[in-house]
Amino acid sequence: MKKHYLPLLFSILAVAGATVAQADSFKIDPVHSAILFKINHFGVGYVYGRFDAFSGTFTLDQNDPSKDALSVEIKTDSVDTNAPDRDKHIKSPDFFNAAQYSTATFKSTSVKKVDDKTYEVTGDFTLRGVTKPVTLDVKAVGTGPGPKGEIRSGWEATTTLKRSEFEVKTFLPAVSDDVALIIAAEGIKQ
Amino acid sequence: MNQMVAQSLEGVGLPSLAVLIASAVCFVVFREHPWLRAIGIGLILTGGTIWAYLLAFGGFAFPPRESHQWIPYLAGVVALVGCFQGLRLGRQVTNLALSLGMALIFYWSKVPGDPLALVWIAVLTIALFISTILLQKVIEDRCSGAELALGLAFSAGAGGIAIFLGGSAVLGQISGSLGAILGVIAILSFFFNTTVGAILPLIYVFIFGCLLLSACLFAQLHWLTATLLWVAPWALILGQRSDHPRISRRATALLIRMIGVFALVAIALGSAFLLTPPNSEL
Repeated sequence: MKKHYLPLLFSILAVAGATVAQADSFKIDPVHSAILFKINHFGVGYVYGRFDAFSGTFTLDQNDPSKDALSVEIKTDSVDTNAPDRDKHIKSPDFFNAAQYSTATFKSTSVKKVDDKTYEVTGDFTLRGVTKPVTLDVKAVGTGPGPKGEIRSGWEATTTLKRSEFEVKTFLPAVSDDVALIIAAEGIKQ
Repeated sequence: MNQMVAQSLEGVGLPSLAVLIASAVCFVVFREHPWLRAIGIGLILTGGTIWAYLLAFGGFAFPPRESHQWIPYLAGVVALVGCFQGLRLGRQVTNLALSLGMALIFYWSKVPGDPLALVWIAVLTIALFISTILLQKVIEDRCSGAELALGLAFSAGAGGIAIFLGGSAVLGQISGSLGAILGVIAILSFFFNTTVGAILPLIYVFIFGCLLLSACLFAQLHWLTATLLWVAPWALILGQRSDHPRISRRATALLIRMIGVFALVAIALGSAFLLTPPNSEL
């Protein structure tokens, strides 16, 4: 009689093992992720933009969240503010100098758990060759199987940068120094 | 007034005003001392250029990581070299060294992975060196101070518009400032009927050259527009200098002398408008 329970037990363990285990690596799915920014324009409105090309990975360790890690690389010439001439200007030496600095990157250095769904992820953000520490406020959205049975994990991170710290000082203060960054990522477990 | 327009006007106006006042003093004090006047004008021009850069970018980067960040340092080196060149000491050697230095600023980092980079370094060095010879040896001798300065001013000033259309308002502002500063020196040189010295051509070649090249490589200034602007002052090869004591005669001769420069600048701006039509969406 006990033998009949063993296959059931192994099945349960197998299903449990298919979800997020101790330390899992995820690759960001760019099709189901977005990197957005907004910046104040003349104190009267916000201009929103996004980056169309980016990639990244993150690691989740359920037993020790301090070991979680995040790495994102953004192609600066993929900026899109729905205005081609403005995009051209943003890619120029006035702002991103995308021809010389083709990527902006974020690499986490520490993770602090605030509560079950909220984290503070501190790391090095590099833009235009300048690297500064930045802290992201991260909210976990959910984890579970995707349409093809793959395990997906999603979260959203926000922060506010001062672009002058990255030597992007053009048109201050008419175009604000503060830039809000939103990274909404969904990763596929590797 | 639009805040950004006001900032741009300030970025062009303030250095020009400072150069106007300082240069006027220099022209008066060193009227009988051409070498000292040349050094003074050169240093004032350099100071104005550096201030224009500071107003545009809000500070200096050290060490410089981008090509335009070299501009303040290039201006300083050019001023130093130009002071000695006033004595005609080692002109060609120093010009060659400056030309090579500027070529390395743009292409040195590409050398390890791109064999063509060495070719570009050689080509750029030769182009810059020839420009210095042309402006200093040929044109300077055939032009009055006002004619030379005005030719350079028109080209640099138009460069401001072209570079702005090419996608970089800040580099365009610096170029516009350079044009305004050179224009101020041209006006003073015209009324004082004096020479302007060896530093002006060097500032044009290396600072304006740096701006044009940066705009071509990192913004979207078309090479055709940049080349036309670059060679526009070479039209001053045509004709003879006019040092006539009467202002009206000098003015007429100056305007006639500028026709070739105006024509090339007009074609350059036309190409800029055609190739990158104006449409600011910022």
